[in-house]
Amino acid sequence: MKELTSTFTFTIPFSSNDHNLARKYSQLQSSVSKAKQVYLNILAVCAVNFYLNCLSIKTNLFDSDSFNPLLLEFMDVADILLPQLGQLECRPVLPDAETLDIPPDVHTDRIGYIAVRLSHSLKQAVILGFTTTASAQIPLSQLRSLEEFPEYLHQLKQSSFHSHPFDSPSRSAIKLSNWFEGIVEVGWQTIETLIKVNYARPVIVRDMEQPKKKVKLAKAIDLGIQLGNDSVVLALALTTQPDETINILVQVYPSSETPYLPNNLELKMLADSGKVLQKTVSGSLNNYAQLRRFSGQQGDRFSIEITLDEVTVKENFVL
Amino acid sequence: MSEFLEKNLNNSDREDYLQQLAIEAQKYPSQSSQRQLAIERLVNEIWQSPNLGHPQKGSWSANFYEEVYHEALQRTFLEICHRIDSYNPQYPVMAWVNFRLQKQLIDVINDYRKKGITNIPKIKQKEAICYPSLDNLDEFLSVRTVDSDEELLRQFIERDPERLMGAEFIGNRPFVTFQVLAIAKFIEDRSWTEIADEFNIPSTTLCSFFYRRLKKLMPYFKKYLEE
Repeated sequence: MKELTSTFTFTIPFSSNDHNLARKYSQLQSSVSKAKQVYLNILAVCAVNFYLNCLSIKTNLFDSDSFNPLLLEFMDVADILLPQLGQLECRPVLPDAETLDIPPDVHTDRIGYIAVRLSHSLKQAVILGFTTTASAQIPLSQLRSLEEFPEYLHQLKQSSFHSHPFDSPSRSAIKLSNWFEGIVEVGWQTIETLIKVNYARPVIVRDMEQPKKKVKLAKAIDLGIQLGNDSVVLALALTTQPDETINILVQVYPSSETPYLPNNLELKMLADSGKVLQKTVSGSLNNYAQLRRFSGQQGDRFSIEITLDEVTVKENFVL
Repeated sequence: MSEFLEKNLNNSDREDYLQQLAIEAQKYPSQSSQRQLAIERLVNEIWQSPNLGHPQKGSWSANFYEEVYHEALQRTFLEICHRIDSYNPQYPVMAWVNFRLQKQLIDVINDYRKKGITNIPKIKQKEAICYPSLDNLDEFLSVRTVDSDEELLRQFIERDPERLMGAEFIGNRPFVTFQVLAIAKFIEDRSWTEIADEFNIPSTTLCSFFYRRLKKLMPYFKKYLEE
């Protein structure tokens, strides 16, 4: 059984559209080696895009970083953007390679890595499997089977949606101090990935002392019955002070489909005991909602609750 | 269901298995992971079926045929996956697939005609449309020579007119700024591993810092470079 699942693959025939796209972006590069990298990356992205289309999984191909020429000047990226979920990295694997190689460029802010074996003729590709943890080289035999991938995406959706507070009392807390080290839980992304930047209001840092470190990450939260409707983005901006105190700013933005938050959306901060410490309710024309900035020491716990009508989503955090 | 994979399948076993997968997919709502899994397996089985057709194969040159055939296959697979509910289990899956494939191939060839490649038989002789393989990719690729865009980007990084790149630094290393890294990477054309070694910072940390700041600074880049 184990052997069987690991041999499951998915084959994609490349069309002239795929090659034309790869050629178009490779021509923008200034060296042959970089042009080759971009050509193969885009073929891998096209292969995964086709696979996801077959499964009726929505993609946002041209908003992906792999189609941003300016970004390609600096980074080796081959991502495909899945709305509400995040960036999925599609790495090309050459015919005789035995490992999936993941460059340091893309070790963060990814929901997973898909290995795409290109045929020697570049006429077709085979998706070999995937992994959710990045390392420089992963033996192809250690990849997770693609048969697990649809379920993985659904779990990912579930983990950010519909997590009712009383359903999961033992739900583990997200360790925020790890964020400064670049260790980030699945589902948390840079805010630019989740919402169009023009709707995002800048975080205003009012503190007089120069903060030591800053990090801001966001996660899509679905409050609707139907997936994709009434979703909002929860963002946490953290700054550390020289005395190791961590300041936290909690904000909620509308998803990219609308500039406004749903009316009567409640945003609450709770103490570890469950006591409500702060609360704000959005009006009908609010672009975002935020709690008063608060601070704590490493090890302090708190929870954030977002409520719309009957649906409450709770996230637990520890500093 | 997996015992089907273990055996060497004969033709009717294959067809039974295909049909089982198609019916399995129909049972679950679209977008459910159960349907997606059945679809994945179905596409995989269709690929491996010796009965997958090659309509009109003899009528065109090998290169041209391969191109339109792949396009038609893509369209057929998408159609099968998205319209699985319209599959009628009274007929073999491969009959449905091959019927749709034939139809899609005609459509693809008609699209080529419309796009102005009016005289397809000529292409037959010329073998005009060629895409690279891994053997000749290097020769196939054309790159831009040093042009004004690149020069503009180089100047922009060096000047940093609003001092935004110089203000972003990594951890508690005020001299390892975004600008310093951008110069090392883009102007000096060094690899992230080399740069990471020089500053004694793990390359993943360095890249993560640079990538996030680059996305944050994207509007700044665009403001000066896309006018």
